[in-house]
Amino acid sequence: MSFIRIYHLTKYYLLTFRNNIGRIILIVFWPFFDLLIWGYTTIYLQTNQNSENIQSMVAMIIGVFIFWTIVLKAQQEIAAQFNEDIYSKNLSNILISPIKNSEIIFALILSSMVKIIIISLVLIISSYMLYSFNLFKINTNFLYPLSILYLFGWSLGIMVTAIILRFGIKFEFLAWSLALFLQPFSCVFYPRTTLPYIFNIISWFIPSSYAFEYLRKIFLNNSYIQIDSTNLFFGLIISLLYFLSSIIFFNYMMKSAKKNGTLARM
Amino acid sequence: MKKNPIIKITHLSKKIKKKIVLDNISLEILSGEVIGLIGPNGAGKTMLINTLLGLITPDFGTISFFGKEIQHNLSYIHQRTNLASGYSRLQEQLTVMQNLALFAGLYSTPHPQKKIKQLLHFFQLEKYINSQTKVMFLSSGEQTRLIICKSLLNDPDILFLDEPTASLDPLMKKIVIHYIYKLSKNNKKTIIFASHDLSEVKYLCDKVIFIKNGKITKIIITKNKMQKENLSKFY
Repeated sequence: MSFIRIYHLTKYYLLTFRNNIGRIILIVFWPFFDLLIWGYTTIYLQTNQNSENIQSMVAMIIGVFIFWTIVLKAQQEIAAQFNEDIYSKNLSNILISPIKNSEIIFALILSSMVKIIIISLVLIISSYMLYSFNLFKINTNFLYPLSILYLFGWSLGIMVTAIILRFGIKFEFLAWSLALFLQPFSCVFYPRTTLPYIFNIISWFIPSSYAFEYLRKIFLNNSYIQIDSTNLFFGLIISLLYFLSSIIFFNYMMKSAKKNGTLARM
Repeated sequence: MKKNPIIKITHLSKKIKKKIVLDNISLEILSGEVIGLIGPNGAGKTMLINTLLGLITPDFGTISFFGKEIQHNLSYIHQRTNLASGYSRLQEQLTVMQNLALFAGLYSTPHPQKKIKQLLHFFQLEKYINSQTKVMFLSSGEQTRLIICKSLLNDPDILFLDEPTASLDPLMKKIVIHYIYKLSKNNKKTIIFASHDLSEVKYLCDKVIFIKNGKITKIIITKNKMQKENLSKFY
């Protein structure tokens, strides 16, 4: 065993890590955001341990997890598809075909939708088999929250793709992490009221928080509750704004990438 | 009577990170011409092709294809042009047929299966017609030939070739160059051919454009053998 070789290889691994901003951000922030999510979830569970029974809490966690997957995968799958084309050096071939920006976005959305349906089915079936959690037993209208979550996930995916187009593959880490960085403010496992003031304010600007405020109540009560239409409608409007902004942002970044020459290098 | 150019470039300039990559390029290319772009690495050949294809926006100058300005007619122009670049690859996770079917779809190629099989046969890739082999397992030369197949799917009026023979063996190089030659002579296609290889350029091109530091340094019309021989002096 040569310690000189080990030293040089270790130095090489650390240097490649130091020069990769994405990995640094992930290694520093990801555990921090995990801590936020599970810290606030624990606080919420502790303060509600007498009022809610354990069974409905478990149902709530499984239920909202399935719905959170929609946001996460909608974002990740759109960006991942683009990354694959960049790595394959195939992106320029697509971009010099007669395809338009709007057609690219539409195709990305449709393909992510197919993947999300498959992933959701796997989760729904396995949560039923493993935990006897039957999503179809819940008597409510999922259309509003689903629309919010899809639109929000797609918006994030389109934004990340636009950033990678403009600034290059060094921002690939966002493809895997942006939705996760916004998860603490999405109030997936705990209500807004659990969050401290500043985080609470931020959560009002995150559309998924409106969907989860509603979904948690449904899963906890395990019965039909009247749709809080004002709140959900407001969430839907914000997610639509996100979606439209993401398309404008994508077009702007595409133009900027053409201007800066980054597109031609992909 | 003067013929209308199929491509018209006027005062094209581009600076990237304070470096001039295209410097006041003006050019008119006629239908059916085969243009050679020659220059050292980093001269601006690929940059010029990428700008012409709309992947880079110029700082100054205008580009028009078929009398239409590129900015507002990109989709129309892309329908009638194509590129085979030695620097690009097709999606490595898909099979040869899946990749070509995608591009046949994007270009709305009539009778796509027939066209794909025809091209695969010509470029000696027919063994992949019914194969499940992913592109990632193809040799470098096979991948290059596949890119050339892709570039011919829409039967383009203008074909851009950016060092397409770089990773081919001498025999395949000959086949590809001969195919391009036939394409230009029989089908009257306009071809823009960027290469380091002067012998290929001599054989194929009617006009050779020398580029250095983003600037056209010389344009030589190579109608006869003697003019072709003289090319070496400038390279």
